[in-house]
Amino acid sequence: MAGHALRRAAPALGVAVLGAATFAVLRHVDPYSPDSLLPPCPIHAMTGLFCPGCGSTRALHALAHADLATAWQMNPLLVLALPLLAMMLLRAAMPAAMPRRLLPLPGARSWLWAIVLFTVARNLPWPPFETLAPG
Amino acid sequence: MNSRQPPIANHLVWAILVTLFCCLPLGIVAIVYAAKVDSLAAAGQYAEAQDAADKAKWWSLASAFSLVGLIVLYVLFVMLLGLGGAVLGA
Repeated sequence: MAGHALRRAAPALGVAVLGAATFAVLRHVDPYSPDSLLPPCPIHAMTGLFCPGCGSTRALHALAHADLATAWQMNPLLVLALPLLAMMLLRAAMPAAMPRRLLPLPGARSWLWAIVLFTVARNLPWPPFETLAPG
Repeated sequence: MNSRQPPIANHLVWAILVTLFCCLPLGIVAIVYAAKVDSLAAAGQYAEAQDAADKAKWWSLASAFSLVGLIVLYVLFVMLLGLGGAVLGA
């Protein structure tokens, strides 16, 4: 029984540990520095297009410094997604604490639409869409 | 016999995480499969739903490993550039 509960909570615990490590790194490493070892987005480096993840590192860096405005500027979808993902992980860990009826979370189909539309929109070169591109 | 089927995990969280952090279209494929899991399970096609769940997991893993591979290539590239610059500059 305890093993089962631990198994169910493992994804949430794993992401929490990864998140804490990311926070610690981004408190000390500056992604804007030209000799930063943090990798740029390979898709943008190769194609010049913005993928749904472009700006994620800078957005997390801003969040680690409590700068929500900059984080939103870099990747608004990430800022919206993080609390939802946290709730999805918590629900998987403790289904009883977060019943589906009280807290409906978007399903896979909604996520797919959101990500595809966001990706197209942030590559459009005219306002207001260009504000969705990082930087 | 109880026909109530335990829910099949669609691995959606991982698919979204790799899409937002790995910059690779592979994550989108994982989300498409995650969406299939729910609709197939709702239609009672549990074997197909399980198959889609496995594929969603596989594509998320593929995306995560591709990112690691790309970062290794990128670091090698930067190191080679630095080495080349040092040799040429000397």
